Amino acid sequence: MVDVRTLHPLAWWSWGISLAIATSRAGNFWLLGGIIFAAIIVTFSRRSDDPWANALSVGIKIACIALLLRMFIAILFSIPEQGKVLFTIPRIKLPEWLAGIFLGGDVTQERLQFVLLESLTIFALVVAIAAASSLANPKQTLRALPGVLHEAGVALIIATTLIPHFVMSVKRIRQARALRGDEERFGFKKTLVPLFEEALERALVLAESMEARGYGHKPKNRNPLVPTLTMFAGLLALLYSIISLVIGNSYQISLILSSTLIIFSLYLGNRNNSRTKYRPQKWGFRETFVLIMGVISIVVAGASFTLLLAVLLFLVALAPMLVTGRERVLT
Amino acid sequence: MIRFNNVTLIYPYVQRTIFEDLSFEVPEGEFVLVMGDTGAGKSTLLKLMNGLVPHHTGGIFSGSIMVDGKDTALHKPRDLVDVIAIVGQNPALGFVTDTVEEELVFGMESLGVAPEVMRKRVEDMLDLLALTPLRQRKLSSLSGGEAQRVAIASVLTMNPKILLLDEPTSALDPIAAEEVLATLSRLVHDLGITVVIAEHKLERVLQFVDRVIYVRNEREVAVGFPQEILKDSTLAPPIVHLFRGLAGETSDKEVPLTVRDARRQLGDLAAALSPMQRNQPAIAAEPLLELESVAIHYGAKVALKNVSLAISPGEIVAIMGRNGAGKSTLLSSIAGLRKLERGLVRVCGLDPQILKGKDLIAKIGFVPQEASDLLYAQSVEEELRHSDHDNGVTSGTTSRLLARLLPDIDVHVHPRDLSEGERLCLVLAIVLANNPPLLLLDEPTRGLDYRAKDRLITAIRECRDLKSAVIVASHDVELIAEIATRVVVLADGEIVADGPAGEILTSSPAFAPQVAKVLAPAQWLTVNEVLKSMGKSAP
Repeated sequence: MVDVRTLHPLAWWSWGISLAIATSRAGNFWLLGGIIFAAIIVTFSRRSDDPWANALSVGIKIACIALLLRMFIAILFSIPEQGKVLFTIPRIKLPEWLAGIFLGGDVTQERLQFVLLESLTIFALVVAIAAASSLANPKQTLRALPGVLHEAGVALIIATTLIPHFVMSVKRIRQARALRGDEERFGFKKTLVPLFEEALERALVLAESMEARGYGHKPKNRNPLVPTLTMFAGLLALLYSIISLVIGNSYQISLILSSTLIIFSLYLGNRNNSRTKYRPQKWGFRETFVLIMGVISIVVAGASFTLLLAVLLFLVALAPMLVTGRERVLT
Repeated sequence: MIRFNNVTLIYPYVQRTIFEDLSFEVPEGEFVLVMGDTGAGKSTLLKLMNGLVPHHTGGIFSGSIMVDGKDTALHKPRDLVDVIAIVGQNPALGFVTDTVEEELVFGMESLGVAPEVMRKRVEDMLDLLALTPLRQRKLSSLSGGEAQRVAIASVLTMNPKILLLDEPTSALDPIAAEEVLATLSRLVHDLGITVVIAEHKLERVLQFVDRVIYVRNEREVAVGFPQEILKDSTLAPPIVHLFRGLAGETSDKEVPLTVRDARRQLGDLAAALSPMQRNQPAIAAEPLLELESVAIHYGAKVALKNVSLAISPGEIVAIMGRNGAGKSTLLSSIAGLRKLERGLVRVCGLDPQILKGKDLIAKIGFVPQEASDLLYAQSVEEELRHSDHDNGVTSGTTSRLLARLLPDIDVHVHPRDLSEGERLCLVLAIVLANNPPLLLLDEPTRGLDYRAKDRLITAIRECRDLKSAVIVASHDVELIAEIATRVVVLADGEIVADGPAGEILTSSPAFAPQVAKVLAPAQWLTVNEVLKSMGKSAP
């Protein structure tokens, strides 16, 4: 389960999230470019062949679409402003009730630059998060989370393993339809009824097997009431702070209170939790190194810009490659 | 170790009592077999032992069941995991995680076993069940026998004193089944674990077991040594039928349970038999089905390569081979359900891939591995009506066919509530309704008892008599010995042997039926053949 070459998934996430924070502080094409290229290089040279490793490719596609869409809208809906006019699109007159929105018109260099920077920031953000999800094994990530969240994790894992089964069932049932002489490709009753019956049966068998293997086994003397109530109070405080934020009251104190309560309840729940972990992945020197590089990248991205700084940021973001190898592939 | 005291079980809304006033005891450290007809309640009996029935299924329960001194009524199954463990009929459905090692620790993590202990136990189990090379593998990539061993290991890590298994070998080829059973036997002998298994294929398990629980009906459950129980049970493996037929019912000799015992006891009788004469049925010149160098891949995996085969009307061809040898792929490509990479398939001179709808079922009747996939109606009656309509035959045809296979079926029940054997008969009736010239059966005997198997054999023989060709893919050597005229052995997608059943079955140790093993080197395959040649009637 643990290989010398695989990094702790939370370390990958700390790196990805740090880069995401760095992008929001960067505000410069060179810095953003450095982050994007570093994230892509690290991911493509270190990811495994598992299905989730494709997250970055998918993320880049989505980010490209978002970028193009953002630029297109920015050019089409112009806001009259000062600056160097690059080109002009014929203005279309909009009805009275859409006053304030301009379709077409002058496109200035300043505006284009601003929008490009803004879209590139979003692009870099998506790439940073997608890079982390490509590199970190989602199942190992769930295992690394505190024990109270374990049940949710198990549910997620089961859901992901059931999808391929479901696809197989649909195929088999379709074939069976053909074997009964049905030419219709999709009949509600004839496809869905057997499918649901089978899914239900499978769920019952799985539940039985989990029950028979001690899932949900709890020591009797622990009381779950206190952590539950604490969690409830924490969520209530969170709701209060969100409402305050929306209506413009001060929200800082209630936000701090709510996060304290929630963390405390997780801590209590965890103490009650009697589960143990088999060969948990250790947080070692390499993980700390990756975490520190992430923090440095946040600091560097916030400093005033020089070209040297951009190179430094690129190298810092690339640094995890020094201590990692290709993530292990399951066979 | 396990004690039943006056146990009665009734499910609500069901007319039948499942068990009534059962009392028996299973001693510690024995290998116990639960045998009985399909629907007699073998699985229910196992689930009663660890409390899944009634804790998980509901039902009205009275009496008491004690396992290792604990009352199952007072403890939930999840709290009994360190006493009693169960492995279900299809272990792959019960897997929770996705790699072998994670699956082994799932239960221990829930129980909060200390990490060092977990580590040690995992290594022990990997060694004990010979799973070390598989520890990093994905569960979905395991073969049937491997999955069964992983499922056993995943409950053994919790150190239970009793292990229950529901039909552990029914989906396995003979070699993989042998491996699983040998492993279980080792658990009993080396670790002193009490193993209880429910199984239909008695010929596979009897040689290993110390004691038999025979569920005759809801009231009568006999517990005893295998020799006692099998002296007069209606369920018996071919070896016992052979013994009864040759030595006479009243013989005071002990019933042989292994091939070795049978050879010793029946050796002189075998010598007295006249040599086997098997006349090959005359084969029509014009083949009904032709395959020419067919090849199919699944990704990098070769499913079939260069398979050529010609089958004529009146032949019953058995396809044998390990799990994953390509048997199912071969059948589904004959039915036109798979795209061929190379080669061609012709059924009655037509390409089955272009046959659609009614044309397809008029030519090919296919009973897939999950036979119940073909059913979708809410009652047997409705299903029969649909069948008459789909097949374009006069109404009542399918139900007449079904009545021949299953004389006393209640047509108002939901198909899901039928037993496995009954469901197979229903599907068979539907598929045979318009008398297709080619019948394909994929693993038809999974979960069938001897009686249901006999009905299946009768139906297949009738098909042959109507000049249909039948192809059966199966692991069940006894079934194949009964019906097949020709056997084709597949390995890694290639045909490695093709010839008359008598020759092929007796020449390979893995695929030889029990009678052939006892009477080797003579090429006898079934009890009936032997008895007929001696002028005795079949049992």
